[in-house]
Amino acid sequence: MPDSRATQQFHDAELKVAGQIPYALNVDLPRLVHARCVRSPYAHARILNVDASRAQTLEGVVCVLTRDDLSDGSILPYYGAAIKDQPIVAIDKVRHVGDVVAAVVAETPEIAAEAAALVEVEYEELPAVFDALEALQPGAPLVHEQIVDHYEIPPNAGIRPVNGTNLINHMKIRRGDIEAGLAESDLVVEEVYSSPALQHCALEPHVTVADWEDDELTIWSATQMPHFVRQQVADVFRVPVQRVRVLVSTLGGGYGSKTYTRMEPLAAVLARKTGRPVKLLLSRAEEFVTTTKHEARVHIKTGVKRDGTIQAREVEIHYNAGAYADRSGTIARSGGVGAIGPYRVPNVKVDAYAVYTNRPNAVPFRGLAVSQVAWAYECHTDEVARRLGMDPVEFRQRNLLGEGDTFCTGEELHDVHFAPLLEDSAASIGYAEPLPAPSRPERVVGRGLGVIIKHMGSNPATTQLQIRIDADGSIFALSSTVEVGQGSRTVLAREVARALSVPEERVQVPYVDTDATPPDQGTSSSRSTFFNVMAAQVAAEDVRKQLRELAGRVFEVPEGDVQINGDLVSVPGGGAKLPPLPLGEAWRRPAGPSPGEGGLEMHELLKLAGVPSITGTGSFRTEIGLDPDTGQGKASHHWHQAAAGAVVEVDRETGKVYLLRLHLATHAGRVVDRHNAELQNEGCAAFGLSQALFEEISFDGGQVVNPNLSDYNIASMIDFPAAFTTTLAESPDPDAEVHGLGETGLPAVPPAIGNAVRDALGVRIPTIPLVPERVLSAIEGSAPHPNPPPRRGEGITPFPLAGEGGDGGV
Amino acid sequence: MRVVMSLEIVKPASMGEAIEALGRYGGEARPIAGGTALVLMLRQGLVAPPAVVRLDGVPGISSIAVDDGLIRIGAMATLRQVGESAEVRARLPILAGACGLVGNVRVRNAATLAGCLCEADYASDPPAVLAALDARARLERSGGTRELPVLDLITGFYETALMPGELVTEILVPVPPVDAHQVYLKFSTRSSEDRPCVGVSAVLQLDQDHRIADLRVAVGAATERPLRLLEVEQATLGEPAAGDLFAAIGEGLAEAADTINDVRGSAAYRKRMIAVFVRRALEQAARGESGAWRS
Repeated sequence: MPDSRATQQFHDAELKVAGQIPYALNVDLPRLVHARCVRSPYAHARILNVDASRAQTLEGVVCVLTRDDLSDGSILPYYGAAIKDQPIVAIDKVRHVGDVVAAVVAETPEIAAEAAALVEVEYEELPAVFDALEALQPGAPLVHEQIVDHYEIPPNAGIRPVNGTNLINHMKIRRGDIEAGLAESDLVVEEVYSSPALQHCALEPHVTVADWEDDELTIWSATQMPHFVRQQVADVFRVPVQRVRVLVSTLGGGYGSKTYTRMEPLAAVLARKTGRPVKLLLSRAEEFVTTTKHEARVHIKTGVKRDGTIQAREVEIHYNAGAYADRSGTIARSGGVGAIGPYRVPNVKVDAYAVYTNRPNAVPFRGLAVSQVAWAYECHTDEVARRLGMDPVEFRQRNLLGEGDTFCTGEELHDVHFAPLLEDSAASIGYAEPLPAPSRPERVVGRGLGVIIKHMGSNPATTQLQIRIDADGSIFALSSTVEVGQGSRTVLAREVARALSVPEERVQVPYVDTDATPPDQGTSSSRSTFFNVMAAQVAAEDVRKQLRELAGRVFEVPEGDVQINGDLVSVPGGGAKLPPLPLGEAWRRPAGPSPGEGGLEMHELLKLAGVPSITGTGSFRTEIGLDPDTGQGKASHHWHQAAAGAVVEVDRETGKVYLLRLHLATHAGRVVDRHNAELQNEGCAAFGLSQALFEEISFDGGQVVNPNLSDYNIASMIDFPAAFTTTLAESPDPDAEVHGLGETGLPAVPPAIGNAVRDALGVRIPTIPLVPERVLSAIEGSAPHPNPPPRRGEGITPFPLAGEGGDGGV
Repeated sequence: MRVVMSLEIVKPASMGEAIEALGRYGGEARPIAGGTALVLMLRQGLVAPPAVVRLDGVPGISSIAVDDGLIRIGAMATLRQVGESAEVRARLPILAGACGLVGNVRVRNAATLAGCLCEADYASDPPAVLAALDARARLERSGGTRELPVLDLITGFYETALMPGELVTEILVPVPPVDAHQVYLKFSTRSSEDRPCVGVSAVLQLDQDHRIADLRVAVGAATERPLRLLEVEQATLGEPAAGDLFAAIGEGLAEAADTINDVRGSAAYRKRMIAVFVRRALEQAARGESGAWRS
C-alpha cells in the first residue's frame, strides 16, 4: 500500500496549509524595487504630453518609464497573443480607462503609488465606442487606425482583421442551404440573448518579478503560459529565447486571466531600465481593467418542422474584445463553432465577430467563448420547444447529436454522450415528478435543463513531457503545465507513475522552469490533463526503449531478449552476463536479484551500467483546422460534453430567484484523480450559478464602476443550494481517453437556471445576470431597468487612484 | 521632495488615554476598532488621518451587559459577540440575528457594532435595527460626554454627528416588552454575502384585541440614513393589526424614502422593495415571529 502522505497531492496540500507555497508574490531578491502603473482616466484620448519630472524628484523613486523610453527602436514596444497591438506603455493614444500610460519604480510600493499620482499626462479626448455592434458601424471611432501592415500578425494566427474598421475577425460557418432550410420550416423562432463583461476574480492578482543579470533575464510570474511569455518577452528585446527564463510555481487561480502575456513585458522593461529586480503587483481594482470576459450579443434564429425536427439554425455573435485583440480572433472562432449547440442541424449559417472597442481588454475566461453562446442557444432551444408545444427535454432528445452524426463543421462525432448526460440531469432534478409546491404563497417554482458541447483547444497544440530517472532511484515528471490550483502536479505524478508502473509517491514534479521543463502551449482550454496523459505514455515508452538498449549492452544480449515488467528489467532465459566491473567499483553492483531471475529495478540497471540518468521524452500534438470561409474541417480533437439541471423558486413580488436544486453532469472519460475531478466540476457549477445570478461589470461609459469585490459580487458557499449534486460520467473502458474538466460543465449551468426561471414565470429573460430587478421587470412586461452607476462618488473608483491598493474585501 | 504620508499608530491602555489621544492631532486622528471599514478607506486613499488610535488594547470595553431594562454594548464588542450573546439573543433577537447576517464570519469576528455606526455606510444591517429599537450611543471626548439616539447619530451619507475627537464608547439598547415581536428582514439582490439592498426592522406590540400598542419600523440600506416615520407610527396606535394597514405603512415609507441608486438596485426598485418588506416584516411580527431573516 503506497503511503499517500508521500504523494505530490499531499505535499502540495501541506505546503498550502503551512503557507509555504512560493507564489510569485513572495519572491524577494536583494535590491528589489516595486513598480506601479499610471493609468488613463479616459476611454479614448490622444496623448499630448507625459511629464514625469515631479514624480522623479520624489525621494525613493528609482525611475519613471514613459513612451520616450520606447522610441529609440532598441526594443519592440508592442506585444499581444495574436496581433501585437498592445504597447508596453501607451505611445500615441490611450484606448480604454485604465490603459497603462507610464510606470513608476520606487524603493517601496507606497512610494511608487504616491509617485504615480505625480506623473502629469496631457490628453486630448477622442470619441469612444463601447458597444461591439456600434463599433462595426461605418464612421465609428477607430480603436486602432491601422492593424494590417502596421502590427505584427503571425501568418498562422488564423484571423482576418480589416483595416479602417474595428473588426478583429469574422468567423463563418456555411453548411447546407440556410434560406431553404428556414423556408421549409413550419416554425421559425428568432431571439437575441446577451451576457455581460465579467472579471475572473482569481484570489491571486497578476504579479511578476523580473531581473536582468548581464544579458540574461529571469521572470517569476503568475502565468498560465510560461513558454509563451518567454517567447513574447524575447521578441520585445529581440534576443534569442534562451536568454529569457520564466519560473512559475503555483498560481492562486487563473481562470484564463493569466493566459498569454499580461504584465511581463512591462516588468522586464522596467528591470532593464533600473538595472534592479522589479516587482509589479496589480491591485484588485487594476485587475478589473486588465482582463475581462467578452461581453457578447447573440442573435439566433431556428427553423423547425412541426414534428420537432430542427431544419436550420442561423446565429450571429458579437464579442466585445475591448481595446486590444489578445485572443479574441480565436475566441470568435471557438464561439462560432460552439454556437449551434449539440444538435443535428442540416442547414447552418454562423457569423461570429470579434470587435475592438474602448473597453478594457477581454481575454480567455473559463468556458471560453462557449458560455456566451450556450446561454443563447440553450435558452433558445427551450423556447423553440415551448412554442412548438413540445416538452423541452423531449425536443432536445429528438435533435441531439448521437454517435457517428455530423457536426456543423462537417466532422463526424464519436464518443458521444449528450443524451445520457441530459437524462441524468433531468432525473437528478426530478423532471418526471410533479413540480414541488412553492414554499411561500408569493413564490413560483420552475425547472430547467441545459446541454452543451465544447471544443478542447482552439488551435493545433503540442505538449511535451519528459520523464527523468536517476540512478539513485529518483523519478521526475518534467512538464511546463502550471499548477493553477487544479491539481496538475497530482495528475502528472499519478499518470507518470501509471505509465511506468511505479508507486505514485516515487514521482516528483518540479515547478515550471522554461530552462528545464519542456515547451508547452500553456495551461488552458481544459487540455493539460489529456495532453500530459498522452505525452506521459509516449515518454514512458521512450524510457523503456532506452532501458532495453541499455540492458542489451550491459548484459550482452539482443535488445529483444530484454523484458520490462512494471518497473523491473529482466532477461529471461539466463542469457545475461553480468558486466565485469573495474577494480574498486564492485559497490556499483546492486544486491538482490539478478536480471535473469526476478529482474532489476530501472534505477538499479542505471547503477549497474554506470549511467547517472536517462530521460524519456514524449510529445502529443493535435491537428485541427477549419476553412475560413465555410467553417468546415476539424475543430477539435475530441469534444467536451455536459448537461445541467436546476430547480428554482422565484418571488413574484421582488423578482428574486432562489436556487433550490442544481445538478451538473459532465463527461469525464477516464478519471485520473477523483477528488480533483469532482472539485473541477463543482467549481464549474459555482462559476455558472454566480454568472447566472450575480456577476456583471457595470460601466459608466468606459469607466468600471464596481472594481472591487463588494460592488462586484461573486457567489459564496452559502449560495449553493442544499440539493447540489454532480455526476462524472465515466467510460467503462479503463484506458478510455481522459477529458479535461476545467471548463466543461460551466456553460450548461446558466441556461439551466434561465430555463428554470422561464418555467416558473412563463416569461423569457434573455440577459444575465438574472438579478431581481431585471426579473421583476420581465414579470411586469416592462423594459429592463438599466443598472445605473452608484450615486456615491466613493463607489466609483476612477484611475489613477491616489494611494489606492485596497480590494474592498467586504 | 518628500510627500509620502506616514500614519502614526497610537495604542492607548485606557479609555482615558484613547480620548486624550483622539483630542490631539487637531481632532483629525481616527479611532480604529475592527478595521474592516477603515483599513479599506485608508488603502483607497478616501481618508488620510495623521494617526489612528487603536482601541483593541483598552481593557473592559468589549463587554455586553444587562442593566435595568437596557443592554449595554461596549465599543469593542464585535458583531460576532453581539450575535452570539445569550443576553442579546434572549432580549433582542432582532439585533443578534441582524449581526449574524452581516458579511461573513471573518468580517463579523473583526467588525464592531460601534464601528459600524461610526462608518455610517448606508448599505449596512445593524443601524436600522438599532434605530427601530430606539438605541442610543454614548459619546465621549476630552471635556464632555453625551448621549445621542442612533437615529440622530447618523446624519447622512457616511456622515455622523460625531464631533472631532469624539468616540462612541457604548451603545445602549432599551429592551422592548416581552410581548413585543421583533423582525428584521434583510433583502439582498445578489450573493448571500452581499450587503443589503433594503433592510427592514420592525418592533410590534399588540394588545389583547389585536390592536397596535407599539409599532416601530426602520428602513435601512435604501436611503442615506435609516428612515423612520415617527408620526406614522404614532398614528397607528390603537388600530387593528391588519394586512392593509401594514401595506399602507409600507407604501408610506416607500413614498417618503429618498432612495439610493447603486449596483444593488435602482432608486425606483428600492422604493418598491421598501413597501414589500415593511409589509412582510409587520405581518411576520403580527403572527408572533421574532428574529432576523435573509431573503
